[in-house]
Amino acid sequence: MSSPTVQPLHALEIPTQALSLLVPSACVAEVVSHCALAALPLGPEWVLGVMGWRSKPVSVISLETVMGRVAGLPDRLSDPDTGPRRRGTRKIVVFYPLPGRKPWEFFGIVTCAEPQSHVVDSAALAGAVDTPNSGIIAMTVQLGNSVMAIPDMGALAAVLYP
Amino acid sequence: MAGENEYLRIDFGGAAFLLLRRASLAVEQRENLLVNEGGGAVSAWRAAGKDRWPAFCLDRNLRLVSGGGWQCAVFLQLDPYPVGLVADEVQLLPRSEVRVEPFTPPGIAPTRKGHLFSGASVGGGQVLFEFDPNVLAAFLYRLEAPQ
Repeated sequence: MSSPTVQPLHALEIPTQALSLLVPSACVAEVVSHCALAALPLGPEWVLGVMGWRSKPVSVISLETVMGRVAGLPDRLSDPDTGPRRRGTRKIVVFYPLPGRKPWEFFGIVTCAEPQSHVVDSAALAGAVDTPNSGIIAMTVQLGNSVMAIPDMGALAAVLYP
Repeated sequence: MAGENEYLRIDFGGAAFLLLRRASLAVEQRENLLVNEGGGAVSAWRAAGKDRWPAFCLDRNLRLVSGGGWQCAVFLQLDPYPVGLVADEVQLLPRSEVRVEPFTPPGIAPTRKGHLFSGASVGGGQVLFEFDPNVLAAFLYRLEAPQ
């Protein structure tokens, strides 16, 4: 009996000021240009505001503020040689609602640069490293010279919708 | 049913919010209210028989502020008595002019009753949040005697 074949994963690198996230492309509804945000009264500090997207209100969050502190990141995520590259053009990545959430609960993350597509093979995924006690980061993975963080979507959902 | 899904657009503090029209018990003009000149949380009262209903002034971040040049107050039903929110302007929006989508604010709800907003309207480059009337009423009520 042959061993199961791991299919290459289409993923999106999302560069933020603190780190680069790597998420399955299927999680992402659209990448849009940064736009004006409406302030959310009495919202947490990590909510930057609310944008209109396809006639829907979408909360836009600062991943850096959600995570609280860069110092708490795994070392290689904050390493200037392997950490996020800063290229300048801010975007908002609109995510589909997290598992178990209401169908209208799209949310956005602000990037510090244009997101990049990657095809991640099984060898790269096999080299992923668990990052216990890193909050919303489940693992890190190295692609080329860059180290990226794979978010724990369940943990992120618990922060966004406690 | 007429008015079933009509909304009030309530402007105050340089921002605008939506409230289902049917959730509003009354909209009263300033000249029909007893303006509180003595300080405290309440900006004005509406006389109602032996009772009086308090109305509060909020800024765009929904923080309690001293009353300024507001023009009217929107009152919401609540036990033991209705409570109000003063506004610079209140407009009735026909159904055709507003489309409200469900919206869940992220983070911990700022009140025991939950989040203050249950929906939002997006259009013309503007996002208008829709108040949950029950939560708003409870929020206003607690302003009179903050914990």
